[in-house]
Amino acid sequence: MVLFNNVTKTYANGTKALEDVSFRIDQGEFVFIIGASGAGKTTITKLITRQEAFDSGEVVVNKYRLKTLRNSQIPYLRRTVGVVFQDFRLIDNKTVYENVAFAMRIVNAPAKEIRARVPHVLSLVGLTHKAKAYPTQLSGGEQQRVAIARAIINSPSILIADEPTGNVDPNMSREIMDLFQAINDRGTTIIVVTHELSLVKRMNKRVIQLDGGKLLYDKVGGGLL
Amino acid sequence: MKRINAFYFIKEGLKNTFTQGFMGIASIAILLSCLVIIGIFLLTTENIDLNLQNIEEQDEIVAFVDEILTIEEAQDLKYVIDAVPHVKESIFVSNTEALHTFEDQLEGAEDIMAELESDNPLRHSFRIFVDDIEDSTAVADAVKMIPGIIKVRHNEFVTNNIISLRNVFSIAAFAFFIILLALSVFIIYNTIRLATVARRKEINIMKFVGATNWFIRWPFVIEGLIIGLVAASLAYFCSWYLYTYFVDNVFEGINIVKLLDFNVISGRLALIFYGVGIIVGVAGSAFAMRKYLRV
Repeated sequence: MVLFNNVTKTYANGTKALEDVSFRIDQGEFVFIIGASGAGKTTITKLITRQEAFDSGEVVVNKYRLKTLRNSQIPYLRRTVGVVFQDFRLIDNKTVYENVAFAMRIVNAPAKEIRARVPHVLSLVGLTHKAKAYPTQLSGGEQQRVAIARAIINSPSILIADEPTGNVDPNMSREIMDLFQAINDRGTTIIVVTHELSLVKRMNKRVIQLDGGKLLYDKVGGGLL
Repeated sequence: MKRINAFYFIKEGLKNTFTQGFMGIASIAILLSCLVIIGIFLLTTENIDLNLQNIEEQDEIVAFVDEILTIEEAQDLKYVIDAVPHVKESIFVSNTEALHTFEDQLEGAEDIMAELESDNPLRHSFRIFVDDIEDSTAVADAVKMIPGIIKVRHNEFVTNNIISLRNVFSIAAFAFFIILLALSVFIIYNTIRLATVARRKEINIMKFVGATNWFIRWPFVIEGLIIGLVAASLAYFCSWYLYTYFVDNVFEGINIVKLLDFNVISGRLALIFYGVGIIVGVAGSAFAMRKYLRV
């Protein structure tokens, strides 16, 4: 669950990124956040993962109230939120298997569990045959699927994807959206930040539209886009 | 630290040290250079200190006893002299002993000696040694005041020069050691920081996946520890080799300079090398990556 209640965020340089924004995303929802550059989309993802603090209002992510969250608690919040970036952010000197297993080691998972879970998730994203490959040997779409596998390996309740299709071709974009749908079908909340309106229309999900840091639109379906 | 993680941290620390190529070798080489310079400097200061101590030990005060005192009365003055603060030891030298010493120095002058023996003009005296050379002037002044002592011989000029030399040397040695230490911390900090910059992407990913700061920090700390241990071991070996080479080849036959045996100082040197190596390596790693943990 993600709750934004009258949230305002101003950056140090004076830019007002969010102004009095309120919305609630319940467990199991699939939501797109859209808007032009500088609308405040990425700021929302930064607030959810507590990369940034906000000025006023209230943000609750799962059981964590972010206003009073201690720094030592941030890693535990992030374990409940998987993140997928446009630039994949994979470790080049680790294989596909190691990139995914690495996220389980961080939460101190036993080796036996890692050996069982990583192949399962790799098969879910269709990369079993690439387990021993290095990121530089993969296409953009494949790299993004490794990033998705890493993001869901610890079974987070929320998956946030920031422009996940920005670096892949249209066919692969559709495949990635289908993958998100499959993950969503298993109960994970999906939040996708994107500017690709064709994908948003095709998926026909709830859309939160921002403009100049303000909430412009929050409805199911892409009718008003 | 959980057991599963401990193995992972050690494995990652080892892997990072030896697989990051130039940075790992550069860190070890720079720390090694700093430690060897510190080592050479310490060995030099220890040897200079040893030679200064030898000069100090030769510094003595000679107190002459009034000739109206009998030999027994003169000998009893030892109790009074020994009671003077900072007197380490006093040795009574009778006028007969003094004459024999004089005789040894005047070889071939038997006629003069025969005359002197019949009427010994020398006085009984005390050779006085002090705890610390800095107290010798005060001791000489105090001994001068003892009834029965009529003259005190003390080379104040030499004493003062030794004190000045030793004090200047101690201050310079300490200052130089601190400068070297600060310099090595600065260089290592920057070298490790460069290595950390190269891995900031990895640290950033770890933060997003939910790693705690200590989970990220441990492999770097272990890497710093390994760098420190390797550099300290190599520095110890280099110092041993260089020192024994100089003692055996350069200073061989020069008896005027006393040189310490390497074994006498090896324990302290190892302690300093491993101490400085580990502290600089670990602290350098921990501080260098601090910035990248604030994500």
